Amino acid sequence: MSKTITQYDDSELVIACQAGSKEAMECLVKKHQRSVTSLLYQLAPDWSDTSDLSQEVFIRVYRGIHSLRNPKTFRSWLNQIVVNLFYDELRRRPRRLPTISIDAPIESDHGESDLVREIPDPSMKPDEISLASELDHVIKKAMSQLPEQFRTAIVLRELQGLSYEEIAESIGCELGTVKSRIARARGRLQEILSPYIDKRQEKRTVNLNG
Amino acid sequence: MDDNDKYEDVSDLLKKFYKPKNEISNNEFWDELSKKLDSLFHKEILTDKLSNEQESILTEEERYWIGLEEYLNNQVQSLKHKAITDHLLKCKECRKNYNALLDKKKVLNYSFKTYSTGAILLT
Repeated sequence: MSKTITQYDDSELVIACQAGSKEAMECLVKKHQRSVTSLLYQLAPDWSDTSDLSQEVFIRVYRGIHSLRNPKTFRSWLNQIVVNLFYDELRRRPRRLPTISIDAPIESDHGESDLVREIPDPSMKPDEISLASELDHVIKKAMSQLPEQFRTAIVLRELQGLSYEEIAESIGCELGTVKSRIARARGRLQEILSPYIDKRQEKRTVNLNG
Repeated sequence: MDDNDKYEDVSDLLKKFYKPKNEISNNEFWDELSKKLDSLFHKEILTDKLSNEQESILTEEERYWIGLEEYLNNQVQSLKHKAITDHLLKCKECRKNYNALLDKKKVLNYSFKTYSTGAILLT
Protein backbone atom coordinates (compact mmCIF):
# COMPACT_ATOMS: atom_id res chain seq x y z
CA MET A 1 0.00 0.00 0.00
CA SER A 2 1.43 3.41 -0.93
CA LYS A 3 1.87 6.13 1.69
CA THR A 4 -0.18 9.31 1.72
CA ILE A 5 1.84 12.52 1.84
CA THR A 6 1.13 13.01 5.56
CA GLN A 7 2.85 9.72 6.34
CA TYR A 8 6.21 10.79 4.92
CA ASP A 9 8.90 11.90 7.31
CA ASP A 10 10.63 15.26 7.17
CA SER A 11 13.52 14.18 4.98
CA GLU A 12 11.20 12.64 2.38
CA LEU A 13 9.09 15.79 2.37
CA VAL A 14 12.19 17.96 2.00
CA ILE A 15 13.30 15.94 -1.04
CA ALA A 16 9.81 16.31 -2.55
CA CYS A 17 9.92 20.08 -1.87
CA GLN A 18 13.30 20.28 -3.57
CA ALA A 19 11.70 18.64 -6.60
CA GLY A 20 9.08 21.38 -6.59
CA SER A 21 6.12 19.72 -4.82
CA LYS A 22 3.88 22.33 -3.24
CA GLU A 23 1.86 19.58 -1.58
CA ALA A 24 4.98 18.48 0.28
CA MET A 25 5.62 22.09 1.29
CA GLU A 26 2.07 22.32 2.64
CA CYS A 27 2.61 19.16 4.62
CA LEU A 28 5.90 20.39 6.09
CA VAL A 29 4.31 23.71 7.04
CA LYS A 30 1.30 22.07 8.70
CA LYS A 31 3.55 19.66 10.55
CA HIS A 32 5.82 22.33 12.00
CA GLN A 33 3.68 25.47 12.15
CA ARG A 34 2.70 25.10 15.81
CA SER A 35 6.20 24.35 17.03
CA VAL A 36 7.62 27.31 15.08
CA THR A 37 4.96 29.66 16.47
CA SER A 38 5.56 28.33 20.00
CA LEU A 39 9.30 28.71 19.66
CA LEU A 40 8.94 32.30 18.48
CA TYR A 41 6.61 33.06 21.38
CA GLN A 42 9.04 31.44 23.81
CA LEU A 43 11.94 33.47 22.42
CA ALA A 44 9.98 36.73 22.35
CA PRO A 45 7.02 36.58 24.73
CA ASP A 46 6.40 40.33 24.44
CA TRP A 47 6.01 40.46 20.67
CA SER A 48 2.45 40.44 19.42
CA ASP A 49 3.19 39.42 15.83
CA THR A 50 4.55 35.91 16.27
CA SER A 51 2.07 34.57 13.73
CA ASP A 52 3.40 36.92 11.02
CA LEU A 53 6.93 36.01 11.98
CA SER A 54 6.09 32.31 11.67
CA GLN A 55 4.99 33.03 8.11
CA GLU A 56 8.29 34.77 7.49
CA VAL A 57 10.09 31.66 8.80
CA PHE A 58 8.33 29.46 6.25
CA ILE A 59 8.99 31.94 3.44
CA ARG A 60 12.69 31.61 4.33
CA VAL A 61 12.25 27.82 4.34
CA TYR A 62 10.63 27.96 0.90
CA ARG A 63 13.37 30.13 -0.51
CA GLY A 64 16.19 28.15 1.01
CA ILE A 65 15.05 24.54 0.97
CA HIS A 66 16.96 23.82 -2.24
CA SER A 67 20.20 24.65 -0.50
CA LEU A 68 19.61 22.15 2.32
CA ARG A 69 22.11 19.45 1.45
CA ASN A 70 21.20 16.94 4.13
CA PRO A 71 17.39 16.62 4.35
CA LYS A 72 17.78 14.70 7.62
CA THR A 73 18.91 17.88 9.32
CA PHE A 74 15.68 19.71 8.46
CA ARG A 75 14.57 20.14 12.07
CA SER A 76 17.78 21.76 13.25
CA TRP A 77 17.94 23.85 10.06
CA LEU A 78 14.40 25.06 10.79
CA ASN A 79 15.35 25.95 14.38
CA GLN A 80 18.33 27.83 13.02
CA ILE A 81 16.04 29.85 10.72
CA VAL A 82 13.77 30.71 13.68
CA VAL A 83 16.68 31.76 15.88
CA ASN A 84 18.26 33.82 13.07
CA LEU A 85 14.95 35.53 12.38
CA PHE A 86 14.58 36.28 16.10
CA TYR A 87 18.03 37.92 16.18
CA ASP A 88 17.33 39.81 12.91
CA GLU A 89 14.13 41.16 14.43
CA LEU A 90 15.90 42.09 17.67
CA ARG A 91 18.34 44.17 15.67
CA ARG A 92 15.55 45.72 13.58
CA ARG A 93 13.17 46.64 16.40
CA PRO A 94 13.85 49.70 18.52
CA ARG A 95 15.08 48.84 21.96
CA ARG A 96 13.04 50.13 24.87
CA LEU A 97 15.86 52.11 26.38
CA PRO A 98 16.75 53.32 28.93
CA THR A 99 14.83 50.71 30.97
CA ILE A 100 17.00 47.86 32.15
CA SER A 101 15.85 44.51 33.40
CA ILE A 102 16.56 43.98 37.06
CA ASP A 103 17.73 40.53 36.06
CA ALA A 104 20.09 41.70 33.34
CA PRO A 105 23.58 40.40 34.06
CA ILE A 106 25.90 42.81 35.80
CA GLU A 107 29.12 43.02 33.86
CA SER A 108 32.31 42.61 35.82
CA ASP A 109 35.84 43.23 34.56
CA HIS A 110 36.00 39.60 33.49
CA GLY A 111 32.67 39.57 31.60
CA GLU A 112 29.26 38.47 32.88
CA SER A 113 28.91 37.80 36.59
CA ASP A 114 26.25 36.14 38.69
CA LEU A 115 25.51 39.29 40.67
CA VAL A 116 21.88 40.40 40.56
CA ARG A 117 20.24 43.69 41.43
CA GLU A 118 18.32 43.40 44.68
CA ILE A 119 15.13 45.45 44.47
CA PRO A 120 12.31 44.89 46.99
CA ASP A 121 9.05 43.67 45.46
CA PRO A 122 6.15 45.82 46.71
CA SER A 123 3.49 43.55 45.19
CA MET A 124 1.59 40.86 47.03
CA LYS A 125 3.49 37.91 48.45
CA PRO A 126 3.28 34.80 46.28
CA ASP A 127 1.32 32.91 48.93
CA GLU A 128 -1.34 35.61 48.81
CA ILE A 129 -1.98 35.12 45.14
CA SER A 130 -3.88 32.38 43.45
CA LEU A 131 -1.11 30.10 42.22
CA ALA A 132 -2.62 28.83 39.02
CA SER A 133 -3.79 32.16 37.65
CA GLU A 134 -0.55 33.89 38.49
CA LEU A 135 1.93 31.32 37.28
CA ASP A 136 1.66 31.93 33.57
CA HIS A 137 2.06 35.66 34.16
CA VAL A 138 5.01 35.18 36.50
CA ILE A 139 6.76 32.74 34.17
CA LYS A 140 6.21 34.95 31.14
CA LYS A 141 7.63 37.90 33.07
CA ALA A 142 10.57 35.88 34.34
CA MET A 143 11.37 34.66 30.85
CA SER A 144 11.01 38.07 29.25
CA GLN A 145 13.41 39.48 31.84
CA LEU A 146 16.11 36.95 31.02
CA PRO A 147 18.79 38.30 28.67
CA GLU A 148 17.94 37.12 25.12
CA GLN A 149 20.96 34.84 24.84
CA PHE A 150 20.08 33.05 28.09
CA ARG A 151 16.42 32.80 27.07
CA THR A 152 17.28 31.38 23.65
CA ALA A 153 19.51 28.72 25.18
CA ILE A 154 17.05 27.63 27.88
CA VAL A 155 14.11 27.56 25.45
CA LEU A 156 15.98 25.40 22.95
CA ARG A 157 17.09 23.04 25.71
CA GLU A 158 14.02 22.79 27.92
CA LEU A 159 11.13 23.38 25.59
CA GLN A 160 12.47 22.23 22.24
CA GLY A 161 14.49 19.37 23.71
CA LEU A 162 17.65 20.08 21.71
CA SER A 163 21.01 18.68 22.80
CA TYR A 164 23.79 21.06 23.81
CA GLU A 165 25.54 20.34 20.51
CA GLU A 166 22.40 21.12 18.49
CA ILE A 167 21.93 24.37 20.41
CA ALA A 168 25.55 25.37 19.78
CA GLU A 169 24.97 24.74 16.07
CA SER A 170 21.64 26.59 16.02
CA ILE A 171 22.92 29.73 17.70
CA GLY A 172 26.43 29.55 16.30
CA CYS A 173 28.48 29.52 19.49
CA GLU A 174 30.80 27.27 21.50
CA LEU A 175 29.49 24.31 23.48
CA GLY A 176 30.93 25.76 26.71
CA THR A 177 29.08 29.02 26.15
CA VAL A 178 25.82 27.14 25.65
CA LYS A 179 26.31 25.20 28.88
CA SER A 180 27.15 28.33 30.80
CA ARG A 181 24.13 30.24 29.45
CA ILE A 182 21.79 27.38 30.31
CA ALA A 183 23.20 27.06 33.82
CA ARG A 184 22.82 30.78 34.42
CA ALA A 185 19.30 30.86 33.03
CA ARG A 186 18.36 27.90 35.22
CA GLY A 187 19.78 29.60 38.29
CA ARG A 188 17.95 32.81 37.51
CA LEU A 189 14.63 31.04 36.97
CA GLN A 190 15.02 28.91 40.08
CA GLU A 191 15.57 32.05 42.07
CA ILE A 192 12.56 33.91 40.62
CA LEU A 193 10.22 30.94 40.75
CA SER A 194 11.45 29.63 44.08
CA PRO A 195 8.37 30.75 46.11
CA TYR A 196 6.08 28.96 43.67
CA ILE A 197 8.21 25.84 43.62
CA ASP A 198 8.16 25.71 47.43
CA LYS A 199 4.41 26.11 47.38
CA ARG A 200 4.00 23.26 44.87
CA GLN A 201 6.27 21.12 47.00
CA GLU A 202 4.26 21.88 50.15
CA LYS A 203 1.06 21.01 48.32
CA ARG A 204 2.54 17.69 47.18
CA THR A 205 3.64 16.90 50.75
CA VAL A 206 0.15 17.70 52.11
CA ASN A 207 -1.44 15.49 49.43
CA LEU A 208 0.94 12.66 50.25
CA ASN A 209 0.20 12.90 53.96
CA GLY A 210 -3.51 12.74 53.25
CA MET B 1 14.73 19.68 48.26
CA ASP B 2 17.99 19.65 46.27
CA ASP B 3 18.82 21.77 43.22
CA ASN B 4 17.96 19.01 40.76
CA ASP B 5 14.44 18.60 42.19
CA LYS B 6 14.02 22.35 42.11
CA TYR B 7 15.09 22.48 38.52
CA GLU B 8 12.74 19.68 37.54
CA ASP B 9 9.95 21.83 38.94
CA VAL B 10 11.14 24.86 36.94
CA SER B 11 11.25 22.72 33.83
CA ASP B 12 7.76 21.40 34.55
CA LEU B 13 6.40 24.91 35.12
CA LEU B 14 7.91 26.13 31.85
CA LYS B 15 6.38 23.29 29.88
CA LYS B 16 2.96 23.79 31.46
CA PHE B 17 2.65 27.54 31.53
CA TYR B 18 5.05 29.05 29.00
CA LYS B 19 3.20 28.70 25.73
CA PRO B 20 1.18 30.94 23.41
CA LYS B 21 -2.44 31.48 24.42
CA ASN B 22 -3.96 31.65 20.96
CA GLU B 23 -3.10 29.13 18.32
CA ILE B 24 -3.96 29.73 14.68
CA SER B 25 -5.40 26.73 12.83
CA ASN B 26 -3.12 24.83 10.44
CA ASN B 27 -5.39 25.37 7.44
CA GLU B 28 -5.83 29.07 8.09
CA PHE B 29 -2.05 29.47 8.48
CA TRP B 30 -1.33 27.57 5.25
CA ASP B 31 -3.96 29.50 3.25
CA GLU B 32 -2.39 32.79 4.23
CA LEU B 33 1.16 31.55 3.66
CA SER B 34 0.28 29.97 0.34
CA LYS B 35 -0.95 33.34 -0.96
CA LYS B 36 2.32 34.95 0.12
CA LEU B 37 4.38 32.21 -1.55
CA ASP B 38 2.40 32.55 -4.77
CA SER B 39 3.00 36.27 -4.80
CA LEU B 40 6.75 35.87 -4.36
CA PHE B 41 7.49 34.72 -7.90
CA HIS B 42 4.71 35.25 -10.39
CA LYS B 43 4.13 32.31 -12.68
CA GLU B 44 3.88 34.49 -15.83
CA ILE B 45 7.57 35.34 -15.56
CA LEU B 46 9.01 31.87 -14.83
CA THR B 47 11.30 30.38 -17.45
CA ASP B 48 10.24 27.12 -19.07
CA LYS B 49 13.56 25.61 -18.05
CA LEU B 50 13.31 23.30 -15.06
CA SER B 51 17.00 22.57 -14.55
CA ASN B 52 20.32 24.25 -15.14
CA GLU B 53 23.33 23.12 -17.21
CA GLN B 54 24.55 20.96 -14.34
CA GLU B 55 21.14 19.27 -14.44
CA SER B 56 20.21 20.34 -10.93
CA ILE B 57 16.63 21.46 -10.46
CA LEU B 58 16.08 25.21 -10.49
CA THR B 59 14.24 26.83 -7.60
CA GLU B 60 11.18 28.92 -8.33
CA GLU B 61 13.21 31.99 -7.43
CA GLU B 62 15.93 31.04 -9.92
CA ARG B 63 13.32 30.30 -12.63
CA TYR B 64 11.80 33.73 -11.97
CA TRP B 65 15.04 35.67 -12.44
CA ILE B 66 16.09 33.60 -15.45
CA GLY B 67 12.63 34.26 -16.93
CA LEU B 68 13.02 38.00 -16.44
CA GLU B 69 16.48 37.91 -17.97
CA GLU B 70 15.26 35.93 -20.99
CA TYR B 71 12.52 38.54 -21.49
CA LEU B 72 15.04 41.33 -21.21
CA ASN B 73 17.34 39.67 -23.75
CA ASN B 74 14.44 38.98 -26.15
CA GLN B 75 14.94 35.26 -25.83
CA VAL B 76 11.27 34.35 -25.36
CA GLN B 77 8.70 33.50 -28.00
CA SER B 78 6.38 36.31 -29.09
CA LEU B 79 3.29 34.94 -27.32
CA LYS B 80 5.12 34.61 -24.03
CA HIS B 81 6.73 38.00 -24.60
CA LYS B 82 3.29 39.57 -24.88
CA ALA B 83 2.03 37.75 -21.78
CA ILE B 84 5.00 38.99 -19.76
CA THR B 85 4.62 42.55 -21.08
CA ASP B 86 0.92 42.51 -20.08
CA HIS B 87 1.85 41.19 -16.66
CA LEU B 88 4.58 43.81 -16.16
CA LEU B 89 2.11 46.55 -17.01
CA LYS B 90 -0.23 45.30 -14.28
CA CYS B 91 2.20 44.10 -11.60
CA LYS B 92 4.12 46.74 -9.70
CA GLU B 93 6.32 44.21 -7.87
CA CYS B 94 7.50 42.45 -11.03
CA ARG B 95 8.03 45.79 -12.75
CA LYS B 96 10.27 46.81 -9.88
CA ASN B 97 12.25 43.58 -10.25
CA TYR B 98 12.45 44.09 -14.01
CA ASN B 99 13.79 47.63 -13.58
CA ALA B 100 16.31 46.44 -11.00
CA LEU B 101 17.58 43.83 -13.44
CA LEU B 102 17.67 46.37 -16.25
CA ASP B 103 19.71 48.79 -14.11
CA LYS B 104 22.08 46.01 -13.15
CA LYS B 105 22.54 45.14 -16.82
CA LYS B 106 23.21 48.75 -17.75
CA VAL B 107 25.97 48.92 -15.15
CA LEU B 108 27.47 45.65 -16.38
CA ASN B 109 27.49 46.90 -19.98
CA TYR B 110 29.87 49.70 -19.08
CA SER B 111 33.49 49.05 -18.36
CA PHE B 112 35.22 51.11 -15.75
CA LYS B 113 38.75 52.32 -15.73
CA THR B 114 40.11 53.74 -12.48
CA TYR B 115 43.17 55.94 -12.56
CA SER B 116 45.70 56.36 -9.75
CA THR B 117 44.35 59.87 -9.19
CA GLY B 118 41.00 58.31 -8.23
CA ALA B 119 39.29 59.40 -11.45
CA ILE B 120 36.94 56.88 -13.07
CA LEU B 121 36.47 56.66 -16.83
CA LEU B 122 33.30 55.08 -18.22
CA THR B 123 33.76 53.51 -21.63
